[in-house]
Amino acid sequence: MQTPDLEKLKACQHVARLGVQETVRAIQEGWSEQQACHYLETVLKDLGVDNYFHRPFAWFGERTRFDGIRLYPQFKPRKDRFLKPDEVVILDVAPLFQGVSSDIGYSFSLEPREDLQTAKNYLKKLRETIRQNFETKGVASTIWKTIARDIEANGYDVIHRRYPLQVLGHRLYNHPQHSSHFHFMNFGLEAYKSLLMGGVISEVISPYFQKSVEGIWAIEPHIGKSNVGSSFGAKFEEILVVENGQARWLDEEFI
Amino acid sequence: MIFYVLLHGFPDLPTIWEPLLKSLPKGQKILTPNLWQLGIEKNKPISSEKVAAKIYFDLRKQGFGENDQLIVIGHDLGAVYATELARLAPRQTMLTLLNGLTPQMLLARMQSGTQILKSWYIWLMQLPLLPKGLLLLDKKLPARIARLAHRPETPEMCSKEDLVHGLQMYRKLFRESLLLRKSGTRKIKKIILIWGVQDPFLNSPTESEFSPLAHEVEIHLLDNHHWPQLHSPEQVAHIIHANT
Repeated sequence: MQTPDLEKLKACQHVARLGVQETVRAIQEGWSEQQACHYLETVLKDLGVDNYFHRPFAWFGERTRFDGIRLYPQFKPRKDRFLKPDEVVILDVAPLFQGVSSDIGYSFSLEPREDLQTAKNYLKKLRETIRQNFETKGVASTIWKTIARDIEANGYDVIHRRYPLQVLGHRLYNHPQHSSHFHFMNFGLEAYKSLLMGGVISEVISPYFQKSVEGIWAIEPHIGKSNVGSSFGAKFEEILVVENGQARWLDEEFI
Repeated sequence: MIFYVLLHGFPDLPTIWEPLLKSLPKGQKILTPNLWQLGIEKNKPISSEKVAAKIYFDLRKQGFGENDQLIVIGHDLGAVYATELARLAPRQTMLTLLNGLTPQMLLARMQSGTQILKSWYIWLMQLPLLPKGLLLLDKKLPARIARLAHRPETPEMCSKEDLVHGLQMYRKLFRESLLLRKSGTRKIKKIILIWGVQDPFLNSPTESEFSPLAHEVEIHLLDNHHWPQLHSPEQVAHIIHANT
Protein backbone atom coordinates (compact mmCIF):
# COMPACT_ATOMS: atom_id res chain seq x y z
CA MET A 1 0.00 0.00 0.00
CA GLN A 2 1.20 3.53 -0.86
CA THR A 3 2.42 6.05 1.69
CA PRO A 4 0.19 9.13 1.54
CA ASP A 5 1.19 12.42 -0.01
CA LEU A 6 2.03 14.74 2.90
CA GLU A 7 0.16 17.75 1.50
CA LYS A 8 -3.00 15.69 1.07
CA LEU A 9 -2.53 14.25 4.52
CA LYS A 10 -2.20 17.75 5.97
CA ALA A 11 -5.41 18.79 4.20
CA CYS A 12 -7.20 15.71 5.52
CA GLN A 13 -6.01 16.28 9.09
CA HIS A 14 -6.98 19.96 8.79
CA VAL A 15 -10.53 18.97 7.82
CA ALA A 16 -10.68 16.48 10.70
CA ARG A 17 -9.47 19.17 13.10
CA LEU A 18 -12.09 21.67 11.84
CA GLY A 19 -14.82 19.07 12.36
CA VAL A 20 -13.71 18.32 15.90
CA GLN A 21 -13.31 21.99 16.78
CA GLU A 22 -16.82 22.82 15.57
CA THR A 23 -18.26 19.88 17.54
CA VAL A 24 -16.43 21.06 20.68
CA ARG A 25 -18.02 24.50 20.25
CA ALA A 26 -21.50 23.11 19.56
CA ILE A 27 -21.83 20.31 22.10
CA GLN A 28 -24.05 20.98 25.10
CA GLU A 29 -24.90 19.38 28.39
CA GLY A 30 -27.45 16.62 27.77
CA TRP A 31 -26.15 15.48 24.38
CA SER A 32 -25.69 11.74 23.98
CA GLU A 33 -22.45 10.21 22.69
CA GLN A 34 -24.35 9.29 19.56
CA GLN A 35 -25.63 12.85 19.04
CA ALA A 36 -22.05 14.13 19.28
CA CYS A 37 -20.97 11.63 16.62
CA HIS A 38 -23.91 12.49 14.34
CA TYR A 39 -23.00 16.15 14.63
CA LEU A 40 -19.31 15.54 13.91
CA GLU A 41 -20.24 13.48 10.82
CA THR A 42 -22.60 16.26 9.66
CA VAL A 43 -19.83 18.85 9.93
CA LEU A 44 -17.29 16.63 8.18
CA LYS A 45 -19.75 15.89 5.38
CA ASP A 46 -20.18 19.61 4.85
CA LEU A 47 -16.39 19.88 4.60
CA GLY A 48 -16.31 17.23 1.86
CA VAL A 49 -15.83 13.98 3.79
CA ASP A 50 -18.08 11.13 2.74
CA ASN A 51 -16.20 8.07 3.98
CA TYR A 52 -14.12 6.98 6.94
CA PHE A 53 -11.17 4.86 7.97
CA HIS A 54 -13.17 4.79 11.16
CA ARG A 55 -16.34 6.71 11.91
CA PRO A 56 -16.49 9.04 14.92
CA PHE A 57 -16.23 7.78 18.46
CA ALA A 58 -17.34 9.90 21.42
CA TRP A 59 -16.83 8.85 25.01
CA PHE A 60 -18.12 10.73 28.06
CA GLY A 61 -17.13 10.63 31.73
CA GLU A 62 -15.95 7.26 33.05
CA ARG A 63 -16.15 5.84 29.53
CA THR A 64 -13.17 8.06 28.53
CA ARG A 65 -11.16 5.70 30.76
CA PHE A 66 -13.00 2.70 29.22
CA ASP A 67 -14.53 1.84 32.60
CA GLY A 68 -17.37 -0.60 32.01
CA ILE A 69 -16.15 -1.40 28.49
CA ARG A 70 -15.33 -5.06 28.15
CA LEU A 71 -16.55 -6.13 24.73
CA TYR A 72 -15.73 -4.42 21.46
CA PRO A 73 -19.32 -3.25 20.68
CA GLN A 74 -19.26 -1.30 23.96
CA PHE A 75 -16.69 1.10 22.45
CA LYS A 76 -19.36 2.36 20.06
CA PRO A 77 -21.11 5.67 20.88
CA ARG A 78 -24.12 5.19 23.14
CA LYS A 79 -27.46 6.87 22.64
CA ASP A 80 -28.26 6.64 26.35
CA ARG A 81 -25.07 8.17 27.77
CA PHE A 82 -25.74 11.87 28.27
CA LEU A 83 -23.10 14.53 28.91
CA LYS A 84 -22.82 16.27 32.28
CA PRO A 85 -21.05 19.64 32.38
CA ASP A 86 -18.14 18.51 34.57
CA GLU A 87 -17.35 15.37 32.57
CA VAL A 88 -14.42 14.75 30.26
CA VAL A 89 -15.20 14.11 26.60
CA ILE A 90 -13.01 12.37 24.02
CA LEU A 91 -13.74 12.68 20.30
CA ASP A 92 -11.88 10.44 17.86
CA VAL A 93 -12.45 10.27 14.10
CA ALA A 94 -10.51 9.14 11.02
CA PRO A 95 -11.95 10.63 7.82
CA LEU A 96 -11.00 9.72 4.25
CA PHE A 97 -10.48 12.86 2.21
CA GLN A 98 -8.89 13.33 -1.22
CA GLY A 99 -7.70 9.72 -1.23
CA VAL A 100 -5.93 9.66 2.12
CA SER A 101 -7.00 8.97 5.68
CA SER A 102 -6.01 10.94 8.75
CA ASP A 103 -6.92 10.39 12.38
CA ILE A 104 -7.56 12.81 15.21
CA GLY A 105 -8.30 12.47 18.92
CA TYR A 106 -9.14 15.31 21.28
CA SER A 107 -10.03 15.53 24.98
CA PHE A 108 -11.95 18.36 26.66
CA SER A 109 -14.69 19.20 29.16
CA LEU A 110 -17.50 21.79 29.14
CA GLU A 111 -16.45 23.16 32.53
CA PRO A 112 -12.77 23.67 33.35
CA ARG A 113 -11.16 20.72 35.19
CA GLU A 114 -7.80 21.03 36.83
CA ASP A 115 -7.08 17.29 36.65
CA LEU A 116 -7.82 17.23 32.92
CA GLN A 117 -5.58 20.22 32.34
CA THR A 118 -2.80 18.48 34.29
CA ALA A 119 -3.29 15.35 32.15
CA LYS A 120 -3.19 17.40 28.95
CA ASN A 121 -0.01 19.13 30.10
CA TYR A 122 1.51 15.70 30.65
CA LEU A 123 0.31 14.52 27.20
CA LYS A 124 2.00 17.55 25.65
CA LYS A 125 5.26 16.55 27.34
CA LEU A 126 4.73 12.93 26.31
CA ARG A 127 4.29 14.05 22.70
CA GLU A 128 7.92 15.18 22.61
CA THR A 129 9.05 12.01 24.42
CA ILE A 130 7.29 9.90 21.76
CA ARG A 131 8.93 11.83 18.92
CA GLN A 132 12.36 11.39 20.47
CA ASN A 133 11.74 7.68 21.03
CA PHE A 134 10.90 7.17 17.36
CA GLU A 135 14.32 8.60 16.54
CA THR A 136 16.34 6.80 19.18
CA LYS A 137 14.64 3.46 19.78
CA GLY A 138 13.64 2.63 16.20
CA VAL A 139 11.72 -0.55 17.10
CA ALA A 140 7.98 -0.41 17.77
CA SER A 141 7.80 -2.79 20.73
CA THR A 142 10.59 -0.92 22.54
CA ILE A 143 8.86 2.42 21.94
CA TRP A 144 5.56 1.00 23.20
CA LYS A 145 7.12 -0.31 26.40
CA THR A 146 9.12 2.89 27.07
CA ILE A 147 6.01 5.05 26.67
CA ALA A 148 3.91 2.75 28.87
CA ARG A 149 6.56 2.96 31.59
CA ASP A 150 6.64 6.75 31.33
CA ILE A 151 2.84 7.00 31.63
CA GLU A 152 2.79 4.77 34.71
CA ALA A 153 5.73 6.58 36.30
CA ASN A 154 3.69 9.78 36.03
CA GLY A 155 0.77 8.25 37.91
CA TYR A 156 -1.54 7.43 35.00
CA ASP A 157 -2.99 4.18 33.65
CA VAL A 158 -2.12 3.05 30.12
CA ILE A 159 -5.57 3.01 28.56
CA HIS A 160 -4.42 2.23 25.01
CA ARG A 161 -3.45 -1.15 26.48
CA ARG A 162 -7.19 -1.86 26.15
CA TYR A 163 -7.37 -1.00 22.45
CA PRO A 164 -7.48 -3.87 19.98
CA LEU A 165 -3.83 -5.15 19.80
CA GLN A 166 -2.97 -2.56 22.52
CA VAL A 167 -2.02 -0.11 19.79
CA LEU A 168 -0.24 3.14 20.56
CA GLY A 169 -0.41 4.00 16.87
CA HIS A 170 -1.10 2.72 13.38
CA ARG A 171 0.21 3.40 9.89
CA LEU A 172 -1.62 5.71 7.46
CA TYR A 173 -1.94 5.05 3.73
CA ASN A 174 -3.46 6.24 0.50
CA HIS A 175 -6.93 4.92 -0.23
CA PRO A 176 -9.05 4.79 -3.38
CA GLN A 177 -11.02 8.03 -3.91
CA HIS A 178 -14.27 6.08 -4.18
CA SER A 179 -13.85 3.25 -1.72
CA SER A 180 -16.69 1.19 -0.32
CA HIS A 181 -18.92 2.66 2.38
CA PHE A 182 -19.03 -0.67 4.19
CA HIS A 183 -18.44 -0.23 7.95
CA PHE A 184 -18.27 -2.84 10.65
CA MET A 185 -18.01 -1.84 14.31
CA ASN A 186 -17.38 1.76 13.22
CA PHE A 187 -14.35 0.81 11.09
CA GLY A 188 -14.48 1.16 7.33
CA LEU A 189 -13.44 -1.38 4.71
CA GLU A 190 -10.17 0.55 4.17
CA ALA A 191 -9.15 -0.07 7.79
CA TYR A 192 -9.62 -3.82 7.41
CA LYS A 193 -7.92 -3.79 4.00
CA SER A 194 -4.82 -2.03 5.29
CA LEU A 195 -4.51 -4.49 8.17
CA LEU A 196 -4.91 -7.48 5.87
CA MET A 197 -2.65 -6.21 3.09
CA GLY A 198 0.09 -4.72 5.26
CA GLY A 199 0.05 -7.47 7.85
CA VAL A 200 -1.37 -6.73 11.30
CA ILE A 201 1.96 -6.71 13.13
CA SER A 202 3.75 -4.29 10.80
CA GLU A 203 0.80 -1.87 10.78
CA VAL A 204 0.68 -0.96 14.45
CA ILE A 205 2.84 0.24 17.33
CA SER A 206 2.19 -2.48 19.85
CA PRO A 207 4.18 -4.50 22.38
CA TYR A 208 4.64 -7.21 19.72
CA PHE A 209 6.00 -5.40 16.66
CA GLN A 210 9.78 -5.70 16.16
CA LYS A 211 10.24 -4.05 12.76
CA SER A 212 11.45 -0.60 11.73
CA VAL A 213 9.14 2.38 12.31
CA GLU A 214 9.93 4.33 9.13
CA GLY A 215 6.72 5.71 7.62
CA ILE A 216 3.69 7.77 8.55
CA TRP A 217 1.85 7.00 11.76
CA ALA A 218 -1.26 8.09 13.62
CA ILE A 219 -0.09 8.10 17.24
CA GLU A 220 -2.71 7.93 20.00
CA PRO A 221 -1.47 7.69 23.58
CA HIS A 222 -4.45 7.28 25.89
CA ILE A 223 -3.99 7.77 29.61
CA GLY A 224 -6.39 7.43 32.54
CA LYS A 225 -6.83 8.43 36.14
CA SER A 226 -9.11 6.65 38.57
CA ASN A 227 -10.28 9.40 40.89
CA VAL A 228 -13.01 8.43 43.35
CA GLY A 229 -16.32 9.31 41.70
CA SER A 230 -14.66 11.01 38.76
CA SER A 231 -12.52 8.60 36.74
CA PHE A 232 -11.48 9.94 33.40
CA GLY A 233 -9.23 9.33 30.44
CA ALA A 234 -7.49 11.70 28.05
CA LYS A 235 -5.75 11.23 24.76
CA PHE A 236 -4.48 12.97 21.71
CA GLU A 237 -4.09 11.55 18.24
CA GLU A 238 -1.75 13.16 15.77
CA ILE A 239 0.33 12.24 12.77
CA LEU A 240 4.04 11.48 13.11
CA VAL A 241 6.26 11.38 10.03
CA VAL A 242 9.38 9.19 10.33
CA GLU A 243 11.88 9.56 7.47
CA ASN A 244 15.52 8.45 7.46
CA GLY A 245 15.54 8.04 11.21
CA GLN A 246 14.15 11.55 11.81
CA ALA A 247 10.69 11.99 13.35
CA ARG A 248 8.48 15.07 13.22
CA TRP A 249 4.83 15.85 13.96
CA LEU A 250 2.84 16.81 10.87
CA ASP A 251 1.26 19.66 12.83
CA GLU A 252 3.75 21.45 15.03
CA GLU A 253 0.97 22.82 17.24
CA PHE A 254 -0.49 20.57 19.97
CA ILE A 255 -4.26 20.99 20.32
CA MET B 1 -31.07 37.12 18.53
CA ILE B 2 -34.08 34.84 18.01
CA PHE B 3 -33.81 32.02 15.47
CA TYR B 4 -36.93 30.24 14.17
CA VAL B 5 -36.97 26.75 12.67
CA LEU B 6 -40.26 25.56 11.20
CA LEU B 7 -40.61 21.87 10.32
CA HIS B 8 -43.49 20.71 8.15
CA GLY B 9 -45.39 17.43 8.29
CA PHE B 10 -46.48 14.73 5.85
CA PRO B 11 -47.44 15.19 3.03
CA ASP B 12 -46.70 18.93 3.19
CA LEU B 13 -43.83 21.12 2.02
CA PRO B 14 -42.14 24.15 3.62
CA THR B 15 -44.71 26.28 1.77
CA ILE B 16 -47.19 25.19 4.46
CA TRP B 17 -45.63 27.91 6.67
CA GLU B 18 -46.27 30.83 4.31
CA PRO B 19 -49.46 32.07 6.05
CA LEU B 20 -47.78 31.84 9.48
CA LEU B 21 -44.56 33.52 8.31
CA LYS B 22 -46.57 36.59 7.33
CA SER B 23 -47.63 36.93 10.96
CA LEU B 24 -44.27 36.29 12.65
CA PRO B 25 -42.13 39.27 13.67
CA LYS B 26 -39.89 40.59 10.89
CA GLY B 27 -36.10 40.71 10.99
CA GLN B 28 -35.54 37.30 12.60
CA LYS B 29 -33.48 34.42 11.23
CA ILE B 30 -35.98 31.87 9.95
CA LEU B 31 -35.21 28.39 8.59
CA THR B 32 -37.89 26.31 6.86
CA PRO B 33 -36.01 23.21 5.66
CA ASN B 34 -37.52 20.62 3.34
CA LEU B 35 -37.54 17.42 5.41
CA TRP B 36 -37.95 15.19 2.35
CA GLN B 37 -34.57 16.40 1.10
CA LEU B 38 -32.83 16.41 4.49
CA GLY B 39 -34.07 13.04 5.65
CA ILE B 40 -32.90 10.85 2.77
CA GLU B 41 -29.28 9.96 2.01
CA LYS B 42 -28.27 7.56 -0.76
CA ASN B 43 -31.96 6.70 -1.17
CA LYS B 44 -32.32 5.61 2.44
CA PRO B 45 -34.04 7.42 5.32
CA ILE B 46 -31.70 8.62 8.06
CA SER B 47 -32.48 8.74 11.77
CA SER B 48 -34.35 11.67 13.30
CA GLU B 49 -31.20 12.45 15.34
CA LYS B 50 -29.17 12.80 12.14
CA VAL B 51 -31.79 15.08 10.59
CA ALA B 52 -31.71 17.22 13.74
CA ALA B 53 -27.90 17.36 13.62
CA LYS B 54 -28.06 18.66 10.04
CA ILE B 55 -30.53 21.39 10.95
CA TYR B 56 -28.52 22.33 14.05
CA PHE B 57 -25.38 22.66 11.96
CA ASP B 58 -27.28 24.88 9.50
CA LEU B 59 -28.31 27.05 12.44
CA ARG B 60 -24.70 27.30 13.63
CA LYS B 61 -23.61 28.31 10.14
CA GLN B 62 -26.22 31.07 10.27
CA GLY B 63 -24.60 32.34 13.46
CA PHE B 64 -26.63 30.62 16.17
CA GLY B 65 -24.61 30.75 19.39
CA GLU B 66 -24.96 30.16 23.09
CA ASN B 67 -26.56 33.55 23.79
CA ASP B 68 -29.30 33.19 21.17
CA GLN B 69 -32.84 31.94 21.60
CA LEU B 70 -34.25 29.18 19.43
CA ILE B 71 -37.93 28.75 18.63
CA VAL B 72 -38.58 25.41 17.00
CA ILE B 73 -42.02 24.84 15.51
CA GLY B 74 -43.03 21.39 14.33
CA HIS B 75 -46.26 20.24 12.75
CA ASP B 76 -47.43 16.62 12.36
CA LEU B 77 -44.38 14.46 11.48
CA GLY B 78 -42.21 17.57 11.80
CA ALA B 79 -42.88 17.43 15.55
CA VAL B 80 -40.56 14.42 15.80
CA TYR B 81 -37.63 16.25 14.21
CA ALA B 82 -38.49 19.45 16.09
CA THR B 83 -38.24 17.58 19.40
CA GLU B 84 -34.87 16.07 18.44
CA LEU B 85 -33.61 19.51 17.41
CA ALA B 86 -34.78 21.05 20.68
CA ARG B 87 -32.80 18.39 22.57
CA LEU B 88 -29.57 19.70 21.00
CA ALA B 89 -30.00 23.13 22.59
CA PRO B 90 -32.43 22.44 25.46
CA ARG B 91 -31.49 25.49 27.56
CA GLN B 92 -32.11 27.92 24.68
CA THR B 93 -35.12 26.35 23.00
CA MET B 94 -38.82 26.96 23.18
CA LEU B 95 -40.49 24.09 21.36
CA THR B 96 -43.89 24.64 19.77
CA LEU B 97 -45.78 21.64 18.46
CA LEU B 98 -48.83 21.95 16.25
CA ASN B 99 -50.88 18.75 16.17
CA GLY B 100 -47.83 16.54 16.33
CA LEU B 101 -46.31 14.00 18.71
CA THR B 102 -43.13 12.02 19.13
CA PRO B 103 -43.46 8.39 17.97
CA GLN B 104 -43.02 7.19 21.56
CA MET B 105 -45.99 9.29 22.63
CA LEU B 106 -48.06 7.98 19.77
CA LEU B 107 -47.23 4.41 20.75
CA ALA B 108 -48.16 5.18 24.36
CA ARG B 109 -51.49 6.55 23.12
CA MET B 110 -52.28 3.29 21.40
CA GLN B 111 -54.00 2.13 24.58
CA SER B 112 -56.85 4.40 23.56
CA GLY B 113 -59.38 2.89 21.15
CA THR B 114 -60.18 6.24 19.51
CA GLN B 115 -56.50 6.94 18.85
CA ILE B 116 -55.99 3.45 17.37
CA LEU B 117 -58.87 4.14 14.96
CA LYS B 118 -57.56 7.60 14.10
CA SER B 119 -54.08 6.19 13.39
CA TRP B 120 -55.19 3.61 10.82
CA TYR B 121 -52.92 5.14 8.16
CA ILE B 122 -49.81 4.67 10.31
CA TRP B 123 -50.42 0.94 10.46
CA LEU B 124 -51.09 0.88 6.72
CA MET B 125 -47.73 2.57 6.11
CA GLN B 126 -45.86 -0.20 7.90
CA LEU B 127 -47.03 -2.87 5.44
CA PRO B 128 -44.50 -3.96 2.83
CA LEU B 129 -45.00 -2.72 -0.78
CA LEU B 130 -48.71 -1.86 -0.48
CA PRO B 131 -48.44 1.79 0.69
CA LYS B 132 -45.76 2.64 -1.88
CA GLY B 133 -47.81 0.89 -4.55
CA LEU B 134 -50.89 2.91 -3.59
CA LEU B 135 -48.93 6.18 -3.73
CA LEU B 136 -47.40 5.35 -7.09
CA LEU B 137 -50.74 4.27 -8.52
CA ASP B 138 -52.63 7.27 -7.25
CA LYS B 139 -50.46 10.22 -6.30
CA LYS B 140 -53.57 12.25 -5.49
CA LEU B 141 -54.50 9.85 -2.69
CA PRO B 142 -52.81 11.87 0.10
CA ALA B 143 -54.43 15.04 -1.26
CA ARG B 144 -57.87 13.42 -1.14
CA ILE B 145 -57.29 12.22 2.43
CA ALA B 146 -56.03 15.69 3.40
CA ARG B 147 -59.13 17.28 1.85
CA LEU B 148 -61.34 14.96 3.89
CA ALA B 149 -59.39 16.20 6.92
CA HIS B 150 -60.28 19.80 5.92
CA ARG B 151 -56.86 20.83 4.61
CA PRO B 152 -57.25 23.73 2.16
CA GLU B 153 -56.15 23.11 -1.46
CA THR B 154 -53.22 25.50 -1.09
CA PRO B 155 -50.36 25.53 -0.41
CA GLU B 156 -49.45 22.61 -2.61
CA MET B 157 -48.50 19.23 -1.21
CA CYS B 158 -45.35 17.26 -1.95
CA SER B 159 -44.42 15.62 -5.26
CA LYS B 160 -44.58 11.89 -6.01
CA GLU B 161 -40.87 11.51 -5.21
CA ASP B 162 -41.26 13.38 -1.94
CA LEU B 163 -44.26 11.22 -1.06
CA VAL B 164 -42.07 8.12 -1.34
CA HIS B 165 -39.36 9.79 0.76
CA GLY B 166 -41.95 10.77 3.35
CA LEU B 167 -43.23 7.22 3.45
CA GLN B 168 -39.69 5.89 3.97
CA MET B 169 -39.11 8.37 6.79
CA TYR B 170 -42.44 7.51 8.43
CA ARG B 171 -41.47 3.84 8.46
CA LYS B 172 -38.00 4.60 9.81
CA LEU B 173 -39.50 6.65 12.66
CA PHE B 174 -41.90 3.86 13.52
CA ARG B 175 -38.97 1.43 13.80
CA GLU B 176 -37.02 3.99 15.89
CA SER B 177 -39.96 4.39 18.25
CA LEU B 178 -39.83 0.71 19.10
CA LEU B 179 -36.34 1.26 20.55
CA LEU B 180 -37.25 2.96 23.78
CA ARG B 181 -35.30 6.11 24.66
CA LYS B 182 -33.78 5.82 28.11
CA SER B 183 -34.18 8.74 30.47
CA GLY B 184 -31.35 11.13 31.35
CA THR B 185 -31.43 13.65 28.52
CA ARG B 186 -31.90 17.26 29.63
CA LYS B 187 -35.39 18.70 29.64
CA ILE B 188 -36.26 21.42 27.16
CA LYS B 189 -37.01 24.83 28.66
CA LYS B 190 -40.63 25.05 27.51
CA ILE B 191 -43.11 23.32 25.21
CA ILE B 192 -46.12 25.08 23.80
CA LEU B 193 -48.79 22.89 22.26
CA ILE B 194 -51.14 24.56 19.82
CA TRP B 195 -53.75 22.02 18.89
CA GLY B 196 -56.69 21.93 16.54
CA VAL B 197 -59.21 19.88 18.47
CA GLN B 198 -61.15 18.81 15.36
CA ASP B 199 -58.10 16.79 14.23
CA PRO B 200 -59.24 13.54 12.62
CA PHE B 201 -55.81 11.94 13.19
CA LEU B 202 -54.78 12.84 16.73
CA ASN B 203 -56.57 13.13 20.05
CA SER B 204 -55.96 16.30 22.07
CA PRO B 205 -52.82 16.38 24.22
CA THR B 206 -52.48 16.27 27.98
CA GLU B 207 -49.87 18.02 30.11
CA SER B 208 -48.71 14.73 31.63
CA GLU B 209 -47.77 13.40 28.17
CA PHE B 210 -45.33 16.23 27.58
CA SER B 211 -44.06 17.03 31.08
CA PRO B 212 -41.22 14.44 30.87
CA LEU B 213 -39.88 16.45 27.91
CA ALA B 214 -39.96 19.99 29.28
CA HIS B 215 -39.85 22.01 32.48
CA GLU B 216 -42.94 23.92 31.42
CA VAL B 217 -45.86 22.78 29.26
CA GLU B 218 -48.48 25.19 27.94
CA ILE B 219 -51.47 23.91 25.99
CA HIS B 220 -53.66 25.98 23.65
CA LEU B 221 -56.65 24.17 22.19
CA LEU B 222 -58.08 25.83 19.07
CA ASP B 223 -61.33 25.08 17.29
CA ASN B 224 -59.37 23.94 14.21
CA HIS B 225 -58.62 20.79 12.28
CA HIS B 226 -55.14 19.24 11.78
CA TRP B 227 -53.53 22.39 10.34
CA PRO B 228 -53.90 25.29 12.82
CA GLN B 229 -51.10 27.19 11.02
CA LEU B 230 -53.36 27.32 7.92
CA HIS B 231 -56.68 27.84 9.63
CA SER B 232 -55.62 30.38 12.27
CA PRO B 233 -52.11 31.64 11.42
CA GLU B 234 -52.54 34.94 13.26
CA GLN B 235 -53.72 33.23 16.42
CA VAL B 236 -50.82 30.75 16.27
CA ALA B 237 -48.32 33.57 15.69
CA HIS B 238 -49.81 35.53 18.57
CA ILE B 239 -49.36 32.59 21.00
CA ILE B 240 -45.74 32.10 19.85
CA HIS B 241 -44.97 35.80 20.00
CA ALA B 242 -46.44 36.12 23.50
CA ASN B 243 -43.92 33.53 24.68
CA THR B 244 -40.75 35.04 23.19
